[in-house]
Amino acid sequence: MQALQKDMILLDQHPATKEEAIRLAGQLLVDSGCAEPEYIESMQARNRDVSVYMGNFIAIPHGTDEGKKYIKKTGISVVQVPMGVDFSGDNEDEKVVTVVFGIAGLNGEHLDILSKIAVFCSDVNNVVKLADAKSADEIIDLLKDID
Amino acid sequence: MAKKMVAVTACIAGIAHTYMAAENLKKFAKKEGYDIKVETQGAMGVENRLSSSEIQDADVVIFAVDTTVQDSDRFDGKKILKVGTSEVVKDGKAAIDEAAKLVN
Repeated sequence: MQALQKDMILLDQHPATKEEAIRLAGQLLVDSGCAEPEYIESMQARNRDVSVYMGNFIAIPHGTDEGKKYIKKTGISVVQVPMGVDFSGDNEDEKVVTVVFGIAGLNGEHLDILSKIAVFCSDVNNVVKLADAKSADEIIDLLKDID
Repeated sequence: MAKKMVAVTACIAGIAHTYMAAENLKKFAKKEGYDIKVETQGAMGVENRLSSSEIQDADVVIFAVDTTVQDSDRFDGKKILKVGTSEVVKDGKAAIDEAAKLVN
């Protein structure tokens, strides 16, 4: 898949809810022609089934198996939420997320980049750098080595 | 009774540090069985401001800051652990353990 593009990155967002954060990440995938609008609801459904919160302040929303038919090509989006958004359920402890990676993956093409993102973000210092990046270029630069 | 902690997180370098440090302090304090309230002094100004009675009731105060704490005279006379936000983001448990030591 192609490297992360500038127009797949939204900086300094302030979603009030996890649903809004997922919608932002999904809309980028739709706007870039990676997915049909229906894919966003599939991402919400997946998060209701199993939380897409990954720990270490990141979430990786993606669709359900049934939602795969709405994917047109593999793509990844990044939504930066410097002040954090809570990805916990109703009665759970807060799960603050500062970087949201939206994924539309065909034929397992995305699995490689997913695992690289997970490894990169397992060092929380890298997550802070992504969360505090001042430009899309800075984020692309940080993720460049893992593309 | 559970030990009471209060904390202030503040950072001028970046926005996210303040909130990520606050989250980690809350998470690990709870895990270790302490009550904690965290005031954030960040991009949105002061949120969750600690009241004087909350400060008075606290056994220990944590400053997770890379800058000066606003109205720090509120904490005069308290046991204070001062750490950087990055340390807390990296290892929240260590900060809570250090703070707990100050109480014992």
